[in-house]
Amino acid sequence: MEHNIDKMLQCAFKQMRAENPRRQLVTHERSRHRISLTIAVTGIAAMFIAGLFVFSPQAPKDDFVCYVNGARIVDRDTAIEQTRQALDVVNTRLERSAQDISQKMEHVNQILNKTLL
Amino acid sequence: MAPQDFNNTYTELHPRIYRLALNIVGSREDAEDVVQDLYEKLWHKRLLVGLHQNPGGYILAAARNMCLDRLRGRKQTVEVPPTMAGETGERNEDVLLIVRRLMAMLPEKQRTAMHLRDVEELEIDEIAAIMQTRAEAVRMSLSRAHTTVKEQLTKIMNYGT
Repeated sequence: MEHNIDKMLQCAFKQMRAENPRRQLVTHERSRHRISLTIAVTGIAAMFIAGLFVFSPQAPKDDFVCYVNGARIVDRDTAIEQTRQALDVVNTRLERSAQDISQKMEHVNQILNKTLL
Repeated sequence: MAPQDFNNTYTELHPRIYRLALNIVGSREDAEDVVQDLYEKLWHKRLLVGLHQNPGGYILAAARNMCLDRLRGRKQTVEVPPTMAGETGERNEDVLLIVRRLMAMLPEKQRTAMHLRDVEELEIDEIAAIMQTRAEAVRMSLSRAHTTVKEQLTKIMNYGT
């Protein structure tokens, strides 16, 4: 069987010529872009995590705790309102007590006047 | 040489450097490593590369030297890369595999000269510059390589006939 060796070789060389690398070359331009991209992604991730801490609704604003009439209150506005209401009740009672005392003093004065006269 | 010009020159030569490295070191992984390592090395010398009359030839010569350094550092084993499936017929793939094996058995100078001439289709003078030798020596290496490969291929093809 006759073989055309030259033709076979040319065919093999042609196939070798068509062979290309599979791995992409990493140039300095590309590595610089990769570094920039990494920094950007890391920055965004850090900002996102920081945002979770700052804006989290579960995060405590401060350590404020107040007890009004035995009730535990952690919200400032509610505590102020509850305290005002409690003070109003105390004021009302004091006013009533003052009126009672003055009425009783009046009564005592009348008795004294009658006795002395 | 400006960074962009160097990148363009190197990227254009990338497949050719890879094939040369593959031909010398005989392994795809090593060849790809050589291409990348050489880029890193030449990047720092890009001004010198730009001053060279033939930057492409200089880069290919540097690639050959790096491959030879790599071969000296390890026991030489030649892996014959698989052919590209689907591109050629079964018989052509067999022939390609045989030619690769025959080339891999040649001495390094003959193998490189044959690769640069027959695969990369470079001129004798260019090959001499890359191999840092004389044109006559390249012709001699080529002649010996062709004779050996053809004789061996003829024997294999006529086996059993």
